[in-house]
Amino acid sequence: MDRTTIPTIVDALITGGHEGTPELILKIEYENGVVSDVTMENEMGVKLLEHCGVDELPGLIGEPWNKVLEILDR
Amino acid sequence: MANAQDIGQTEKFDVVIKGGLVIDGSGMPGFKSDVGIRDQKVAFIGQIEADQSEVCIDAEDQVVAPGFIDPHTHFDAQLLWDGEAKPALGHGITTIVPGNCSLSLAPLKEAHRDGLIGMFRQIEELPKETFDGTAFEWTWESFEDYLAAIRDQLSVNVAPLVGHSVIRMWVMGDAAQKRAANDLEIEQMQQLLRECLAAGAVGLSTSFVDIDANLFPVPSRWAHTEELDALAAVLGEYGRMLQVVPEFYATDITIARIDQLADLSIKYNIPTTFSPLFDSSATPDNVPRAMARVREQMARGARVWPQVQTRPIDISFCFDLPSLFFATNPAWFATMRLDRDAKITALTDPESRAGLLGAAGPDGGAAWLGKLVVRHVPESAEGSNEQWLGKSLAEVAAAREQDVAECMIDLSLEHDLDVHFLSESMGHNESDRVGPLLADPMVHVGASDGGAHIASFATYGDTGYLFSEFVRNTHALSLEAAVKKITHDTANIWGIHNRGLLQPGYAADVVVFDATTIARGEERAVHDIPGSGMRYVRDAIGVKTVLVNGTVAYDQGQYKNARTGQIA
Repeated sequence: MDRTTIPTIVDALITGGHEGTPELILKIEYENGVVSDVTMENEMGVKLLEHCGVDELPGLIGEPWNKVLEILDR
Repeated sequence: MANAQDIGQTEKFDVVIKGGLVIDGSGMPGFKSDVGIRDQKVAFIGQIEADQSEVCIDAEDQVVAPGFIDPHTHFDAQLLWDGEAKPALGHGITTIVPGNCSLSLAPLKEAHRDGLIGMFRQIEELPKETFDGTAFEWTWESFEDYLAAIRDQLSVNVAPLVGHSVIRMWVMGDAAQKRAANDLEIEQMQQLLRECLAAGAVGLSTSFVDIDANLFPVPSRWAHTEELDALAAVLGEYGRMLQVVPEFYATDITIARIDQLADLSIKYNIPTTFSPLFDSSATPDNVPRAMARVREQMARGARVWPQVQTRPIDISFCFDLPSLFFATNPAWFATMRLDRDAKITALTDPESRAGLLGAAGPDGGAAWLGKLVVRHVPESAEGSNEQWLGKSLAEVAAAREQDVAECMIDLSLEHDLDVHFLSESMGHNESDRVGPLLADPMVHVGASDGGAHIASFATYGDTGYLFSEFVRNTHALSLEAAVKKITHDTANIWGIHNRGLLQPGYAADVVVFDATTIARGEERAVHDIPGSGMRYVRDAIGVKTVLVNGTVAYDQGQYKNARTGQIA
């Protein structure tokens, strides 16, 4: 599948979560241009960065949505 | 019948509160007056002579308001050894609603105790020993008997919810966390809920989010829609509340839950509330979208009350586990992801350490890390390290004559990576957005979570913060509007009768406070949990006196063990 035809991470932010731990907010852009939020708690967020082989949030930008799904499915 | 003037000038009262600014909870402007209390109720508001009572409380330059009501707490266990629900009472809270998020301590069969304890430990972070029989005796199985177990020592009023998860456990046993209920089990749950409501429960709580000690979904999450509908039908028989924890991390699902609650509210004529609803600059559309749907459903005639907390969200972390906090700094994040031994080596080795210190910034990490607060330092061979607690890393670094990043690394290494740091106001922290939200007539101020997450952060003092930040600092609410939000509005939403207003005939739950200073104190660690547990608390600032059902229960920093609380 061509990368431009699948949902893609267009921004990644850190916010405070209800449990008093950081959470990762991903902005996912879909094929039709709509951008939606996905929230990942700390442990999953750390795993996503590892899975994508990056050490900082901007490195997630441009990564395809299926990378997120692969973490959520584990 | 005596006229008002006769009452004011001749009759005797149990307690008189003299000369305060009465803000009665209705939202109407405050006025200077005396308040006379007799037989646990407000008896008269007007001019009263000091000698008309043996107990006279000087409220000159103070506000006299109805006691505050906290609709979202987890004090269920604490009430068994602390009927004052410290420090909530000291903040002016005179009525609490425990049993939220599908979890109450009753009804509970003896065989199911261990399972429920795991859920409570997960949410409240209480140590296991707290439940081993030394802090309290397990004298109950039924909801009625649990209320009997706490009733005599209560110094706050309790308006208890019964938890959907425990109702499920009672009826289904282990299957409560394995499958949907069948028709017979649903009928049994309905009957059990009726018994709890008849015994004094003010509603049912359920959760679509919470997990137990094994990170397994709590029983309520295994219910099908039909089960919740059947239980809501029973709530309709009593006109009682349904409290829900929706999937608050996903706006679309939260909106779907708002629709579900609205349908139940209209179908069975019940109030519903969901919590929490957070604002965040990372998800700025979350609250506007959820509130738009709340308005739409309220316009249909539904009662769907979003609970919004006043305090900002702080986060904490330590070096022992990788934290997203460091994900803005590649060198530090890469180090924190190493396994423990490699991490210690990287923090110790001169070359890698120099790299980390350089990556912290030319100021030695002052801008990035200096405002972090040291919130947990284990005892070391040198003894207690409490001198660092509550101090900013910049302050600790200055005392240790180090750069901030260097201090953070060394402090962690000296304590086996078990030093915890707090980053304040990481969410729900933009007062220019949160203030108008709190002031919205369709928002229910609550979600304090008092008594939960006790070893992670303090869940006390939200009322003080409401006044200090949103009345005094940002003027989002008037003093009268703020008092109304946490007294009369809450009592109305929950159907708590004869509380929440300072008017004759209402229960004499009263808080006397200084409007110019009321606030929450600094967060601090205390060790007052049975079983050597610790928790974070915040003491009250500016609260002078609190009366519960006409008796002084807290006065100038002292808890009085009044034991005049009631099942509300």
